[in-house]
Amino acid sequence: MAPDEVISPAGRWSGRLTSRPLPEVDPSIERLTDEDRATVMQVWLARAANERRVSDSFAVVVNALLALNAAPGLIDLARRAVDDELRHAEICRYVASRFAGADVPTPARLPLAVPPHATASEELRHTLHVVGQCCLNETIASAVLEASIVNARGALVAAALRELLSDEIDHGRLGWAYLATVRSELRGKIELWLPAIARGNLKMWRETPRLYATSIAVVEQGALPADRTEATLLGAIRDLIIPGFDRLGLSTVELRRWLELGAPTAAE
Amino acid sequence: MLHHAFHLGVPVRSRLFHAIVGVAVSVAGPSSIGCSDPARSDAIVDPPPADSIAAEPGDDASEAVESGVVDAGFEVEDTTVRVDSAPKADVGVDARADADASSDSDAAADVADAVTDVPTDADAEAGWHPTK
Repeated sequence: MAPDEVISPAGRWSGRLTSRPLPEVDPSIERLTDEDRATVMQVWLARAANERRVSDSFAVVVNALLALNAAPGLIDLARRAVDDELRHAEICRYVASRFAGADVPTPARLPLAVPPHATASEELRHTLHVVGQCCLNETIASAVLEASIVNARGALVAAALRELLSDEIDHGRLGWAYLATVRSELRGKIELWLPAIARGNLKMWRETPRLYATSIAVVEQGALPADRTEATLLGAIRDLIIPGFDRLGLSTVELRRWLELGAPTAAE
Repeated sequence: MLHHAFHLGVPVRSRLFHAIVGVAVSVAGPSSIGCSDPARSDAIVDPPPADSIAAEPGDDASEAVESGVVDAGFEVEDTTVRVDSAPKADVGVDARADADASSDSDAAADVADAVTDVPTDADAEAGWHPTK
């Protein structure tokens, strides 16, 4: 973490980094080739940078929920998510350090670009920020982590991935719970935006630079191959997000049509 | 028991859907969510072995454990959130704009011109940075 950042004592684990201590011994790390070990280190360091940026995303969500006069409990959860993501960044940096064999510095802070949704009213824009970050982004993140855990064999990465997934599920819930409370007129407006925000989020997932696993050994340390990542992204939209909107009575006809076409994103 | 069902072929996707959407929207009722819910996220990502489930009467987690999902020895935080599920009729700019519009047709036209509430092509480019 940056020197001026601390994990909040009021956070999820009372200032601790994780719910349970991460394993101090993991023989699987020593068994990797130097090349694979370096790749895994880079994967986790890149995750650290991304997680730190998502902490900034949740600061936007906090402000959105405040502006929307959301239930105080939801606002508290969002505030905690800001701290959660700081912990995630540090967890990922710590894992990267273990693979590096030395403490690696905190990666440079990535700039945050907030979806402008320029033609939306203020209320709708705030709502779309909650839906986009929580219902879509964090739900997709949960699916990616779940897929990563499936083949994770290293004790350290398996434990770290569980810590991350546990929190990301909570962050996804936050959005779905908020969406369940919005009035029907606003839901109708959100419906119009679902294809756009789904395309926008999927585009970001597809185009954000990341190292993909190209060997089984790296997969077993929590990284995904490119094809598995793509399948997971589409699976999250098909099996989690669309059914979620269905559950809340929002029309997903356009989303389903788009998905049937392979979910093309704007740059394609 | 639900926990056992997880090990008996319930699709993983269904588990994750339940953990995220189901818990938030319906498991604890549409008006509440909570990490102390039986299907709390830790139970999904780290289901305990069946023989580790041992509820103690009066234990805060006992209800969850009784459902067969949460390990009694697992730290369970109570972060249940009560959410007013009644639609809010007076929140935000839209409501204020509507009020203006109802009293002044010109104002209504201005609001309609300024805010279409319909996404443009540019919005399809706009997403949140992924976490992974």
